[in-house]
Amino acid sequence: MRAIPAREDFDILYEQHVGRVYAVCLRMCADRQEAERLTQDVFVRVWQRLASFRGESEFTSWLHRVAVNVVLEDSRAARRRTDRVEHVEDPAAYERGGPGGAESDARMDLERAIALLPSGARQALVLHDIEGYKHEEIAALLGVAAGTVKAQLHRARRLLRERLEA
Amino acid sequence: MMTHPAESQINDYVDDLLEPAEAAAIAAHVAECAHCALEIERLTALKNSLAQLPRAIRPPRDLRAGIRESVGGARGRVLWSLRVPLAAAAVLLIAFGSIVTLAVMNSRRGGDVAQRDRPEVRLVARAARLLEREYAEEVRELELVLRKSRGALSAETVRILEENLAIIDRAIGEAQRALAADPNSGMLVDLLRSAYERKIDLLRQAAKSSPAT
Repeated sequence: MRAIPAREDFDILYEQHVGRVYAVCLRMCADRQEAERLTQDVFVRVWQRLASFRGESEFTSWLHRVAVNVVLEDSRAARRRTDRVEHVEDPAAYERGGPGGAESDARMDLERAIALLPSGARQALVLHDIEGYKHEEIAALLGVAAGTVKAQLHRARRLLRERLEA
Repeated sequence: MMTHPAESQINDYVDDLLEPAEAAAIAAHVAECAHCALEIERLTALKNSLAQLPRAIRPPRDLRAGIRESVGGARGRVLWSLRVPLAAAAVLLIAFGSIVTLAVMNSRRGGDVAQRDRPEVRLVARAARLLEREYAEEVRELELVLRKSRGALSAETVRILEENLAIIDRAIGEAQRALAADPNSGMLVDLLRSAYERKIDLLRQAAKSSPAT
C-alpha cells in the first residue's frame, strides 16, 4: 500500500513558495521594500483564502495568480504611482550570492534594466516574457486591450535593448 | 528598395504570432537584409535571456513575522494555532484530486463484478468498514466538545473551521465513493484513513485552542 505524503503546514508552504512570490512582486514593482510588503500581503491573502481553494488547478498556479492579482491591485490603488522611471534603491535586491562571473553580471544588468522600465511596460514584459502569460491574459489582468499590451511589450523590449546595448 | 518590416511585425515574428504567409514574407526579407536579420537575432537573444532569469528570488529577510502580525490579534493567534490542520485540509484536497480520479479511472478500466468476491477484495472492504467505525466514534466525541465551546470562538474562526471541515468531509465522501467503485484499492483505504486523521487533528486543535477549554 502506498504511503500518503505527510501533511504540510503553512511554514512549509511559505518556504516552498516565497521565492517565487517575491520574484514576481519585485520584478513587477521594482522596489525591494514594496516587494516585501506585497509578498506578505500575498501570503496573508493565501492564508485567508486557503479554505476556498478547491483543487481545481495546481496549487502553484493558483498561488501565482493570487500574487499577480495582489501586485496589480496595489498598483491600481497607488494613485501616487505614475509612469515615471523608477530606480531600484538597493541593487542588492538582485544579488543571489555565490561567485560572480560574466553570466551573473549580465543577469543583474538585465534585472536592473527591467527595474528601470516605466511601470506599464515593465508589467507587460514581466508577465509575458518572464512569467509566460499570453497577451490576452495580460490584457484581462490589466483591464486593457490586447493591442495595448503588445505595444507596451514591444516598447519594453526596445527600451531594454537600448539600455543593454549602449 | 526593400521595405523593412515594422517593429510590431518583427516582434510578432519572433513571438511566432504571424500568419504563415506573413511569416514567410518576413523570413524572405530577413534572408536578404542584414539589418533586419541582426534585429531579429538580438530580439531573440533578449527573449532567451529573459526566459532564463531565475523564477524564484529569496527575500533578504524572513517575512513570516509580518504575515502573522497582519493576520493579527487574539483572533489571529487562534487561527494561527490552527494553521497546520487548516492548511492540511486544503493540501489534502490537492492530493486527493488526482489520486481519487486515477483510482476511479483504474477501476473503470480494470475489474468486473466477480472481482469483488475475491478474498483479498473482501479483506480490504472489511478494513475500510472497521476504519470508519474506529474514527466515527472519536469524531463524534470531538464534535460534541467543540459544540460546547463554540460560543467562545470568534465568528471568523468558526466560519473557517466549518469551511475546512466541509473540505475534509468532501474528501471523505470522495474516498468512500471511489472505494465503492474499487473496493480492492488499499490506496483508497489509506486515503480514507488520512482524511479521518486530518479531521480529528483539526477538531482536536480547535477544541484545544478554544479559550473555554
